[in-house]
Amino acid sequence: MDIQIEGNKQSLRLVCSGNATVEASAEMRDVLIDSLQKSKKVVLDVSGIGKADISFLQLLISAEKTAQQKKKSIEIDPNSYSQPLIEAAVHAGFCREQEHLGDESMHTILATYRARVSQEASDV
Amino acid sequence: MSDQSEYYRDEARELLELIEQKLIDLENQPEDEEVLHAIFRAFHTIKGSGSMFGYDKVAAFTHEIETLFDYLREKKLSTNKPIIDTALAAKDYISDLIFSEEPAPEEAGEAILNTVRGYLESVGGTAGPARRTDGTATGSPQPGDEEPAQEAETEGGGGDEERTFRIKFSPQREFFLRGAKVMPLLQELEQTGTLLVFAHTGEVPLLDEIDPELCYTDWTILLTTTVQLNTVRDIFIFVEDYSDLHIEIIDDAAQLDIGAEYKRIGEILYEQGYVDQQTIESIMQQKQLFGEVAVKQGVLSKDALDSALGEQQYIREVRRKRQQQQSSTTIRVKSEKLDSLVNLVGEIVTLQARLSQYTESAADGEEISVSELENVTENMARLTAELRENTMDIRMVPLAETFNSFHRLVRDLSAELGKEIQLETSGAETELDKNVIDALNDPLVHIVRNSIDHGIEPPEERAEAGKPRSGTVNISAEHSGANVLIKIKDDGRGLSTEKIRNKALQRGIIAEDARLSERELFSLIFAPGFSTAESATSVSGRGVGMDVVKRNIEQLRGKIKVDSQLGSGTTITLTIPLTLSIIDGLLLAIGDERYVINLSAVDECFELTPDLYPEGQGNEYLSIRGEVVPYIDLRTMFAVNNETPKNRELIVVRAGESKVALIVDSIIGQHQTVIKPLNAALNFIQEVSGSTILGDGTIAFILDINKLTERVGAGI
Repeated sequence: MDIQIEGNKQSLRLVCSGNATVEASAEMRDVLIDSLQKSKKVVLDVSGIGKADISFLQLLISAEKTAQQKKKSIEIDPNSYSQPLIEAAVHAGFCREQEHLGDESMHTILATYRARVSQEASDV
Repeated sequence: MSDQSEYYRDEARELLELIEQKLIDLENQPEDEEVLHAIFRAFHTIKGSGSMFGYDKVAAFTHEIETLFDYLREKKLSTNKPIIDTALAAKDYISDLIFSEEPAPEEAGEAILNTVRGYLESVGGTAGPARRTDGTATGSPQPGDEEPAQEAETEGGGGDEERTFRIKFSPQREFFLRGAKVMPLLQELEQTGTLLVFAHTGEVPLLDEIDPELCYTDWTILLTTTVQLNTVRDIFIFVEDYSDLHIEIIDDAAQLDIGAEYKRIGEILYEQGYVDQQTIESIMQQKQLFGEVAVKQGVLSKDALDSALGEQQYIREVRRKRQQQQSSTTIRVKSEKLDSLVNLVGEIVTLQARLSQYTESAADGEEISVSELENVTENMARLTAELRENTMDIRMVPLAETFNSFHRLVRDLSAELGKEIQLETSGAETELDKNVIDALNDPLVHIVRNSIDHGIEPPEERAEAGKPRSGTVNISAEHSGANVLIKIKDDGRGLSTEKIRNKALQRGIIAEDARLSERELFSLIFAPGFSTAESATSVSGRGVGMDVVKRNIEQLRGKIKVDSQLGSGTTITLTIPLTLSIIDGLLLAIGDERYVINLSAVDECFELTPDLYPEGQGNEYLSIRGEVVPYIDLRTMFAVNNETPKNRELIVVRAGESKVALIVDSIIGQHQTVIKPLNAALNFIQEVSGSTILGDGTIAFILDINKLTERVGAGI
């Protein structure tokens, strides 16, 4: 996986491309740790992600927990669209297609991303 | 056969007779504890002496039925018709086991027991240790399995019944390191049915501590499928060494008579092992939404609550869909109704024979008197009318079943919301067309939920207002002409016109300067997107309700009305036509076409004269005896081009509060109208609700008065 880092202290943008799978997860973790230390806000651009697995989804949850603890924020840019990531997240139960099934107050990084992506789609 | 065995059989015969008799008594007096005790004792004796005399199957089977009655005695369950039906079936099965030469099929017994288990589980119980009824091998259960998981395999051949499994799948940390993957498992599961997957990520550590190659997530998977438990288990066969797996059946179509409701959140969480009994009890005492409190107190993770809520809603949906499928296919008819139908058919056959005889006589050149023919025609007319009435009557079923289902709903919801609520029903014997009853169920559920959620106050608030702590919801039904009136009345806080007004302003439903009467304000609760509760709760949903309720009622050609007194309660009245399929209509002509309108909506008819148009005004209103009435010229509306007749006629119709005059070419007269639904391709024509075939074979459209008057309201 290739990760390009853009931005400054206020906000960093991580442009990810390639396969977000267990092989790349150690590198991804290090980049995330580093970014959350340097900047107040981290935004992930996932449009180049070709394949995602559980290890990557877990890592996103971990990053979100870490950001919350450090009073920082991390989110996935809803304008960066990755079908494989959404499919993986829905399929593995990290968010759901039918949002009414479950507690609607659950807003994880992935659920928020998916909801915003479908919102943008329906706005068009 | 030994004397002792003979003795047992005699005793059992007597006891079974007693059981049947008492069960029927119980149906009429469900509160009668004495009767319940008597039934329990009889089953108990059959079980006890059964095992003494070597009737092991009888003893094992009866044990579970006995448990059911134990629950009824202890009021953990309340007696209802389905339970009595099951108990009667059980009695028949026991009788079969003891007396029949041919051994009774085990599947039948198993089906009954599954139903019983369904009842017991619905209140969080199980049938206890003697649950297995036979010695059949059932594969090799995995160590650590939950008991209920075994049930899947004892269900006989019922392979194509749909059931829902709850799969708790917890991979070990090193799961990925062993080369195992989760996604392919989920894909394989998906191929067997419908999946709902919840990932639990509570264990996922912070970035500093995470080893991205380990698995910290575990899953709750709901799978609705027709495959057997073993097939599901086999999917996990290659990973079972590196994971914990628990599979349970949480819903089974083979269990008869399960309502659409499902377990409460606390029960689901308890079953899944997220909370213990003590926690549940301590939280329940606070009488607030269980999940919210548990998460706030930190005894429950958000994603555990998420999956429990998801499971509850998912199973309700599954059951509701199944009920809809079932209800569209079957109808229970009293045998007397069928008898009288068969009698009528008999009379028609006789009459037909008489007609044939006349034809033959006529062919032989004999003369037939007109009066004889008239006699046959009259008889035919009478029989046809009776046949029609009878056939319609078969579709009529009492509201009792619908009403009864509300006891459970009220009981569960009031517990969930920490309110004390009594449900009273009256007029349950009132009959309505089966289709109407089916279509009424959802709207009624919604209205009752609303009463409980928004109407009835919590006990403390009631006490402060000087009301009894316990609130009352009263559902009643009564006949009123060709309609049935169903009233849902609560003694809650009533509707606040001020709150409704503010909310409607906030939602942009009304304008700032709108002047509305109390009634008009009340009717705003049916506006799309309206909800008076300050916050939406899991009970009454999120403001998508009353508008749908109104639409559903109107589809039944019914009306809905709200009356409310601030502080003392709200009454919602539904006026529902008895049947959907035949109406008294008024036949009219516009151009070359004929149309029918529902006669009950017609106020008056007269000739259209020029003096009805008010002088000097535009032509949107007529002045009828000084009253200004908006009108619709149906010629214009249906774009009829041929020549307008000189003398036209006027029909004043009423829909709800408003009056509208319809200008038509001519009124033909009253017409018994058999409604045929419109083809789906024509559904977009809102002003037409159906069609009918006239005596000469031509088709007339039935106009929807409500939609027509809405057009006027919309300024057309």
